[in-house]
Amino acid sequence: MMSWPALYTQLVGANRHSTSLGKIWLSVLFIFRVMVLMVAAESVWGDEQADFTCNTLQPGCENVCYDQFFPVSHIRLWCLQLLFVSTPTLLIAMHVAYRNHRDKKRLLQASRRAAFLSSKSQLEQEEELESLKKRKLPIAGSFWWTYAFSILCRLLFEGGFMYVLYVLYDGFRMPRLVRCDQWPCPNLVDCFVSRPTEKTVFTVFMATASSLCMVLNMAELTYLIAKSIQNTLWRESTEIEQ
Amino acid sequence: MSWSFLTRLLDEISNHSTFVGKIWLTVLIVFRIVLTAVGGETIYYDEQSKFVCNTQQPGCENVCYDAFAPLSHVRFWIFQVIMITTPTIMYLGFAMHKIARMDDSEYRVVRNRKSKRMPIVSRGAVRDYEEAEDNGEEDPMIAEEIEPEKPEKPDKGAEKKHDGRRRILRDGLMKVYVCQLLWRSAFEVAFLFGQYIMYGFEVIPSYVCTRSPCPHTVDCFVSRPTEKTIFLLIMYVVSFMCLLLTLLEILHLGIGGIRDSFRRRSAHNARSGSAHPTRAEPTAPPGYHATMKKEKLKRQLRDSPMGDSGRESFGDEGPSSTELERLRRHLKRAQQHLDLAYQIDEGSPSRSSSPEVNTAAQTAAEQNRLNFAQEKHGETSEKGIHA
Repeated sequence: MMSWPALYTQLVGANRHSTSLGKIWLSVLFIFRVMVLMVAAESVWGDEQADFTCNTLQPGCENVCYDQFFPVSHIRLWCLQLLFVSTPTLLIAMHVAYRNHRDKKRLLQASRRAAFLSSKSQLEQEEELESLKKRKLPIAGSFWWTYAFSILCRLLFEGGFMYVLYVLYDGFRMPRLVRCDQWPCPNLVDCFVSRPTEKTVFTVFMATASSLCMVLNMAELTYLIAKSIQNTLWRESTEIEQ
Repeated sequence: MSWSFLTRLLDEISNHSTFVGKIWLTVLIVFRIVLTAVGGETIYYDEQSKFVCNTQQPGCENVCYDAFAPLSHVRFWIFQVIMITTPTIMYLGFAMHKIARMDDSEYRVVRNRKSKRMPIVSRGAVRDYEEAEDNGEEDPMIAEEIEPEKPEKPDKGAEKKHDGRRRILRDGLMKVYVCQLLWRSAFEVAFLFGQYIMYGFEVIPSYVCTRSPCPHTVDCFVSRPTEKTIFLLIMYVVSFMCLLLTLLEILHLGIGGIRDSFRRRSAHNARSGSAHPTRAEPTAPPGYHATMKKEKLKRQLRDSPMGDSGRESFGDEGPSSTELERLRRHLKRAQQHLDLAYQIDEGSPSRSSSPEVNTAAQTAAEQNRLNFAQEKHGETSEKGIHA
């Protein structure tokens, strides 16, 4: 089982520098997807192979048929999807860490110089370092590009995984009966999937949550681009005035 | 462990609810989440493996189980809990966003204009929130990262209390709060109805199934039907309880609002003389009152600035000029004290208590003066401080 709390602590640190839409996205991700996956979906898919029964006594037929129709289980696909979708946020965290490191070095150098001239106490220095760590980076300049790139990556991963799931399982419905004639099955054999309706419900739910996340990401990207255009125009107009 | 994502947010929600809301939250967590997690695991773990049909036909048990339980009870309850907490979580996000913005604009206005706007008393709280905001506490998910830093500043987290009916009212969040309550009740009713339609009131011990490939009508037997029935009935009762608590909360807010408006009206009548409109809109956002207040203040020469920003009427009687002068001097002194206190208090950690108490602690001297000034104009303002 995945260690989702570890991922959560990583993401929450970078979340401080997100826009409001980014924060909503993180909440939706963890409540509607990770939590549902952990708490509910895993128990629904728990017995997917044990209860996959085929109308034959031929040993090995059930294994082979299960493998043919379920190359990658839904649960594993969703885990991978959530992992990949969360990864771009780490880019943001890395950028923030790099910026903080650079500013901290600059601050220390400046304060060392200033300490000779003025009586800047140790306490003040520490306060400044603390405020540096706690400040929220404005989304501008190179940070804007990192942020936009991360949202784009998220969108691509979401879309990609949804498409793979759709193609692999021929839609979002789980069939009740599958017919299989792989060797060593003697002839065309009926195999029955366990809990097909419940699995369909969950597949549709996860697909909806995934689309919601995609919508949020697209909205965030649009907002970023619009804001940046607005800022550029405003800056140009003030420059023209001057 | 798996529920911790939700329960962490719910803890934060308790800082933004009324008293009845906190009870609802406790009932939700203790009765529903814990029951679902614990009971669900132990009672339903063998629901399919022990679902036995009176046939040797392979596949018949699978299809009959699927017909019997399209969605298992436990999964239904999990969806129910998630959907019911969603309006509250959305309110939390909205409230934190609004509070952060409101404190920002109030602080800036006060700083720039040095006006005699009322809640001078709660400026301390505004400052606290600004400091807290700078620490990135805008979002419940973010509040998590404060945890490792807790030993260093134990009180920053505790300053973020916006609970209680009056506080919510004052922050102009009442409309959204009531809207959230209504959505919650709607979801609750919908899920109760859905639960009745899908499961009824009983889990039958034997299920008759005729789906193919079952050769004919087949009897299938459910595992632990009595235990499941008892659990189902318990969850019905708990859902009703939560629904009742939500409705009670709506009633409590309604009655409280009516009571406040009566009190205000009687206070207004008691001191009546002027034809001044009472601020009878508890749900107007602070911005609205700020604008109204500025206009009123310009017009009435700050004769009664001691109203609570969301609820109180401006004072009615026109005080004499000497009183005005005294009041002005008091307010000026109070403001100077506040500025001084803020500068001194910038870096030092404040005590771990609610924002109101923090305010009182930090600006005790100005509070005394303000109280003195306020008492001269009646008790309505006192309520604003103590809310």
